[in-house]
Amino acid sequence: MLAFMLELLNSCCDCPVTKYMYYSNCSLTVNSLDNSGQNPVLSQNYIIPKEAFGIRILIEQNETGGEVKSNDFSLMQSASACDCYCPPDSLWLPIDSIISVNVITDYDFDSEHTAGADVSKYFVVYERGEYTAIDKYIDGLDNTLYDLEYYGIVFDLLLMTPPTAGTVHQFDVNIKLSDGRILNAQTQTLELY
Amino acid sequence: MKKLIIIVLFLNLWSSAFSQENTKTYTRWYLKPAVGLNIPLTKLFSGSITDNLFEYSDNSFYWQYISATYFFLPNWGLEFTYQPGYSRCISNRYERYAGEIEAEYGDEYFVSTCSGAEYNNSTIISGSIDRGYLGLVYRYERRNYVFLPKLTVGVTSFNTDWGETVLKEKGSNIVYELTYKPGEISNDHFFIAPSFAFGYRLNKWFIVNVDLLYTYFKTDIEYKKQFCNTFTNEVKTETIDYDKNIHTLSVGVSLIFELRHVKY
Repeated sequence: MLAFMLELLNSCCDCPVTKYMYYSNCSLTVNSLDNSGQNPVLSQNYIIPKEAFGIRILIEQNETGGEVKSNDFSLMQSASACDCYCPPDSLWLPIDSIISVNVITDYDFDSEHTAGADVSKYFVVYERGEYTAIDKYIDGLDNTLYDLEYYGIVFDLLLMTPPTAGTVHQFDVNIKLSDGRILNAQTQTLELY
Repeated sequence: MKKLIIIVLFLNLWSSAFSQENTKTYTRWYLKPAVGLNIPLTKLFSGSITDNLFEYSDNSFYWQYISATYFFLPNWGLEFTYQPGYSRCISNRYERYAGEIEAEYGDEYFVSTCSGAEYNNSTIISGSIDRGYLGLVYRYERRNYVFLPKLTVGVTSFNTDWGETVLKEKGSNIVYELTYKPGEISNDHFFIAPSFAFGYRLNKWFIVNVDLLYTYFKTDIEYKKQFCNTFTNEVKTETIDYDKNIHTLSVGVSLIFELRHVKY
């Protein structure tokens, strides 16, 4: 019954054919955040309170061309529809998706995490007033885009457990994609006081 | 005892002063628009930050545009009255609330406050404090003077709003959430109210009148304060009680329109 109703709504009037295009997650940029103010800002001098440190992640996406599909097949004629609901003119689908995000410390972080250790669990994504674990955030990403021009993936990782070893720190961010590639970027060398 | 004797003497003098002439007709209906002040004998508010979330004020004024008395006997009648009330303190309560939050938490946190108190729901029809009552009226009228003792019961209603503040800790990634929530948004309080009105007849149709109304009601309002660390979800809860006996004296002036004069 639900399928019939959707078909009925979809078959209306003269909806344009939806074009499906493809994009790829192609590059990664990271910036150091100072969240000691009301909102996180990009750090200019890389001297940041360790309780207010964060990393801004920017994953850029590029069109890959690829196959174009359309939705011109319908069981029902347009004339029989009672109302108009048209799908978007174009939709962008990913040819790869993010599998995981890992943060690796380049310096000793604390007694248990020396240089080279994974400290991802100490970071969370903060978005719209909510803290979300990195894995949960990645699982919830909607990869189907309406317009590639305005969409890149941007999110902030906030460090919720400050380091106890030293003040000089640097972090590597590794993003594993479904096609096997790993996007990598490194923060500036920081002084977390 | 001395006061009681003075009151009895006063009533005796009053009665003898106006007992020389009997009216031949009486009025079935009084319509009585009025304005007045509500003067607190005891106060609901005690300086808590949540005082600012009440759509109520201890001191307020009222306007009365629905008030009718039906006299089923020459001296006895039933009165129904609706009085919306308001105060300037109600209109700027959000600014006070936000200001007090800023003063208390502003040193350590970046403060973003919102509240139901931002929205002013009162109109000239409904006001913020609604009071309606029904009561028995005794009419005593001699020459141009009218004396109307009454005993009424009714309801006072007002809203209690919520408050929510996001507190971003300075120099830290931690965000806290501070909320004040009332048990119920709408609060109805039943009251009993003896009342006296003294009037002077201007002509056959109009009486200018002074109203004195004493009301008593009891409040049992509770606010819950929650201070939540939104990262750890640790919550500290505190209760703010408004368990009070509220005594109020209302003083107003009114103009009585008399309708339908009938003979004894």
